[in-house]
Amino acid sequence: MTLDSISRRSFAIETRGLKKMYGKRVAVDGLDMNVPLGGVHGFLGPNGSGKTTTIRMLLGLTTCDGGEMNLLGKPVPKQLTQVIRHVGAVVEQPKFFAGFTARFSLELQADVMGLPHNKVDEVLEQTGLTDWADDKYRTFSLGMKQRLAIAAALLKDPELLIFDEPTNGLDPGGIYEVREAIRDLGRAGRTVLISSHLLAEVEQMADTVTIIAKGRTLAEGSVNEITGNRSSDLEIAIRDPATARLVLTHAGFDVRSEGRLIVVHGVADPANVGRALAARNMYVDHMVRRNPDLESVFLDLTDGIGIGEMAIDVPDAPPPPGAKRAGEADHPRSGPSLGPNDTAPADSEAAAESAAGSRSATVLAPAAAPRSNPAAAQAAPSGSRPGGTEGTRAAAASSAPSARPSTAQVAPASPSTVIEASARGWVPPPGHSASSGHSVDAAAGSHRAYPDSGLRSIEDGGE
Amino acid sequence: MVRLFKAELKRMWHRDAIRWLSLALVAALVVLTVVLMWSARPLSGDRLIQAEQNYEMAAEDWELNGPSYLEQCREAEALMQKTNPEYTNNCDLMEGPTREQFLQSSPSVDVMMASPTQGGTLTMMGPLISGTIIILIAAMAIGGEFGSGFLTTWLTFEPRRTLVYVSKILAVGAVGAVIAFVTSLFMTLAPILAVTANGQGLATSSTNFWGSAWLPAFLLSIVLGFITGVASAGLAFVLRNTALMIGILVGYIVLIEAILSQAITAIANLLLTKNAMAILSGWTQYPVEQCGTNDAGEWACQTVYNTMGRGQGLLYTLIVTALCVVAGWALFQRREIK
Repeated sequence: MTLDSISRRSFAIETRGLKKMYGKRVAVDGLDMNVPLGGVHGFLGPNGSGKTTTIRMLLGLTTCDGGEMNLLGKPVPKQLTQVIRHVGAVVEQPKFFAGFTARFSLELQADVMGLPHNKVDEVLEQTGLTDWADDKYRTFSLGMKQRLAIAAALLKDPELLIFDEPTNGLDPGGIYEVREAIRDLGRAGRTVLISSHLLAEVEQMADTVTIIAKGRTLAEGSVNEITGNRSSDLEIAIRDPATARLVLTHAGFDVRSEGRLIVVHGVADPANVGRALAARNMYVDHMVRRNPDLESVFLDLTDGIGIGEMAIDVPDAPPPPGAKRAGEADHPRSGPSLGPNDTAPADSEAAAESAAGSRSATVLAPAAAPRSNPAAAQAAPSGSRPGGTEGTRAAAASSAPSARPSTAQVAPASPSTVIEASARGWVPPPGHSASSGHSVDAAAGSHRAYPDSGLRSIEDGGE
Repeated sequence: MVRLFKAELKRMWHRDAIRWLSLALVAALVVLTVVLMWSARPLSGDRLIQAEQNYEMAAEDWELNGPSYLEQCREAEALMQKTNPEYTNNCDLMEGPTREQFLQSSPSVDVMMASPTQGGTLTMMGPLISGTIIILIAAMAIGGEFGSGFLTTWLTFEPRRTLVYVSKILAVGAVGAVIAFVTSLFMTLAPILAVTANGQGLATSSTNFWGSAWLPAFLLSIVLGFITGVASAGLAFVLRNTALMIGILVGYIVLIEAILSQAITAIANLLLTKNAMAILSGWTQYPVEQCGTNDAGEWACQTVYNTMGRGQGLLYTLIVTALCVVAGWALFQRREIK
């Protein structure tokens, strides 16, 4: 799902400048979120980042201290009663009375909604609980409890489902069951918001994600776009790794050691690495691209770098209909403005250097392309917008006065543009895919192409 | 609202803890009935001989000491009349024991039901038992929802908290009314069973007892059960914890009703049990210590009994209930539900 498609439709959930304080502690700090209608939307953040608090505010379980929220187009909590019938939710752990059977628990809720009891049988069937319908809740495994909670949420036949950490505490079998159930719901055209800190889980389920930390939006968009906009690492096995590392460092690559392996960071074109080594008569035994997964993106976004460092100047463009950009309400733009067709500012190179490791800059600005990849910058002309970057939005942190998020619609280029462009520059042997998700077994002299999932981990790509 | 209320009743009925409490209530009432029947059985054998001996001892004592008892009574009366000229000990009514007093098997059915001093099954034991059960049910019904987190699930179905709150306290109130009804029924039947099993008739010592005393007490006990349920549910919303609520209940009974009320007689009219008794019996008395300088210039204290009427008891009970309900509602509106 791309930003274009999102923006043309209504959002299932919208928050603008949402705030929540617990005493002096800020739990949610001007959170902006857009959950498109239909599909599974991941709501990601470290523990304590404000996910559950946000969900609680959306459902009226706690009050908010500022900002606006809309559920299915209705402002909440003001009109929550009008939309709650269309919203099913499981907040944190499933919560039912231990002595009640699954069927009775659901019948009670059906009674409140005025639903016939055959609807209960229907959702029990949907969640695979028919055989346990008359067993008491206390006898259920955690996975079954979670399924019962999902069944309760489905009773209303809701347009929007909200699951807060639905796989917490589940064994692999339970995780699989819940994941499949959520996928099915998304495929059936419902909107599912799933909050989690388990990134691999979300990656397997979600079409779009919002990443938050410290109660603020860090990034939002489709999984492919967010992960695709990250430069990848190249893992190399070579006979003399110490010398190879020196060679590559001298050639301007960002290199680190991992045991007997060396890892080159931010490589857009593996051929450049191969050439640099070959020039010194060094030949790799094994070369694998480590494509960034959501987890690495998440860690990159939420760890190490302060919020303020994410602030970037981005082109100014009108937001898509119905979508106010993250952080906009509270932090008016103060940095330089770029029109939709403007090129990067003159000092963009310096900015790019300083922002080489910066996430948002990497996402949004071509100037942020790694220095080791000059061809990439050339191959990504300003104003170009490859399809792969559509919809990716990064929210500048509210702590940075100049922060202004942008839509990829108006971003001159994106890292995925960079990667793809540089990939085009690398001339692989016949049959080798230049796209992400491939490995080169130099020793064997063969090249294998992998499906371009954009979400591949080293395990996937390795032998 | 009706759907919510019905669902609340259905849920309460299916709660294991509440079913066990209901069972405990019935068991307690059965035990009470049996005890009442046992204690009211006619004297026979050894008990009859013992009663005869007791009478003879009392008669002998009266024979020897009667005049001095009368004199002591009059002296005490005279002393009290120095500060309160209208005070009387009714010494002239003092008389020697009679055989009937010692051999009487059981009081009449109306005395067993209504007199707080002689059993008082309908006006004292019944409300005590049912009141305790109702408070426990409120603690478990409301506290359990907070404790289990089920309230969160419930609010995702019905986010209007006032409606949820009202439906819950009304449901507990309704359960309280049912419990009070069942208890009062037992407390009415137990004395009847006791006297009929002993071969006594249903004759009452006061005229028009069934119309003027029993019926109001019976109906008001049901009302009081409802009020107790509502007030307890409101309090449970304030405390949100079953154990805490039970702890407070036990603490109140032990510290306030049993200990503090003895030490500070001035709070007697604020005791919940006293007010409940006033509602059910129509009136009750509570002791108040009055101190002052008497005619002889001495500082003297005396205990007088103030009367509390049904209206006063009802008013006080309703004020306490309103405070609990409003506090519970206000906190439930604002609080984060986890």
